[in-house]
Amino acid sequence: MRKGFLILFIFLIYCNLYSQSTVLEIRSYRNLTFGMVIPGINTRISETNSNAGRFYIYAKKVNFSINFNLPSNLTSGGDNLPIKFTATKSENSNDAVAGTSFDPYTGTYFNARGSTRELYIRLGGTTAPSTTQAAGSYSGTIIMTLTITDN
Amino acid sequence: MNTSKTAKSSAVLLFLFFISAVAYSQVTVAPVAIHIGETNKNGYMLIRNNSTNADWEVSIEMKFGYPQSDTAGNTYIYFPETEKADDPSAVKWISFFPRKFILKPLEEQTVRIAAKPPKDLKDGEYWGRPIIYSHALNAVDTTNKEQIEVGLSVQFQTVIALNYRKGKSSTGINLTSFEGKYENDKIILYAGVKREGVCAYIGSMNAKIFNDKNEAVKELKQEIAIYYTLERRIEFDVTGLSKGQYYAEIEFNTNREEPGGVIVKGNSITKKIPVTIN
Repeated sequence: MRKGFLILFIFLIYCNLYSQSTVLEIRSYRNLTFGMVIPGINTRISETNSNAGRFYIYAKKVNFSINFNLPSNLTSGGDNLPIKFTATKSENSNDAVAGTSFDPYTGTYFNARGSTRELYIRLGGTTAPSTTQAAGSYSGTIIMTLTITDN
Repeated sequence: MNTSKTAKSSAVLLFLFFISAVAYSQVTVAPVAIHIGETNKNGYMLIRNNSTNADWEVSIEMKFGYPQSDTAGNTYIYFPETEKADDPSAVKWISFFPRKFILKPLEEQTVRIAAKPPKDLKDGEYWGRPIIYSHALNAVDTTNKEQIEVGLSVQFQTVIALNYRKGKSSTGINLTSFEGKYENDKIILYAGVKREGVCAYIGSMNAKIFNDKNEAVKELKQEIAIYYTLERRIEFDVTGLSKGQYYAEIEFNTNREEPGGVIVKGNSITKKIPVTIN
């Protein structure tokens, strides 16, 4: 009997949290992909490219800012591979409609207070391998921060 | 750089695969504003992983911070490096259960938020910003060792709001400045506001441009959160409006619906100033 009440209680909390509350959801649909890179030649992936990174944000009744902490180099042991990022935001899921450009190093804002809205963030970038760039397994981490600004 | 690596680099091609094993990875947080108080010291937050193929590690911490605005009028959350004794911080006596956990694919976790304030806590409102850190446990696929590959992993941080109220709640604002000018087909307004009372002023700001017949020709509504002061820059594109005398009106009020919480009602302020398009 007591267990039944507990289950009911948890279920009611769940329903309340989802039906009435503010919600923020982030999805990483696709990571930025460069494919083959030639030493000494910059490779740029634009935000409309099918290899651009794509993030999806579902926001319900909330205003928020979007900021990135981006690596300036990808690393492989002691070797660095310089990288710079670009970004767009759009409410269109079509990759060919990348939307409005913004500087991912300073971030952007989005308003979904009055409604439920969906936002696509697309991340492009340019790698700049040197002519003597060492082969290796280069890695880096993107940190994406969503911050509530109206509460 | 060692010889072997140099030799490999002369092979001309570098394969840079930014591979993620976390297709459609996702983290959901609800609600994103938590209001608790002396009559209800517990709150709840739901965190969900809808990834179908990846475990996600989630951890939660809380920092003291509040919204501020920069010179351009943009709002951001200011986190002081050190808390002062008189800062209304709830960080030390708010707990999250669990604070760190792993979500399997399609799994969710209800996090209980419990307040244990000191007995001599003064009446007022106390703030904190819970930060939910999340990342996939198997973010990078490195199975193909024959190639030169690169893994770019992604971490998410969601910064939400929490406040705890004790005793009598009150809030209000003073309009400290309101100016407007016409420049390059735009009417630009600057509004400065200072908060009074013990609670944050959570509400709305409405800005309107009226013509000489007192008809609203431009309108903007924004939600605001004033914890100490607010400087807001509002820009209207007035391309196509004829030259002449116009009036800019600014209004602040607390008539805002807040899901999952109660807005502390404060005063409303309205001010109208002339602006000329020439």
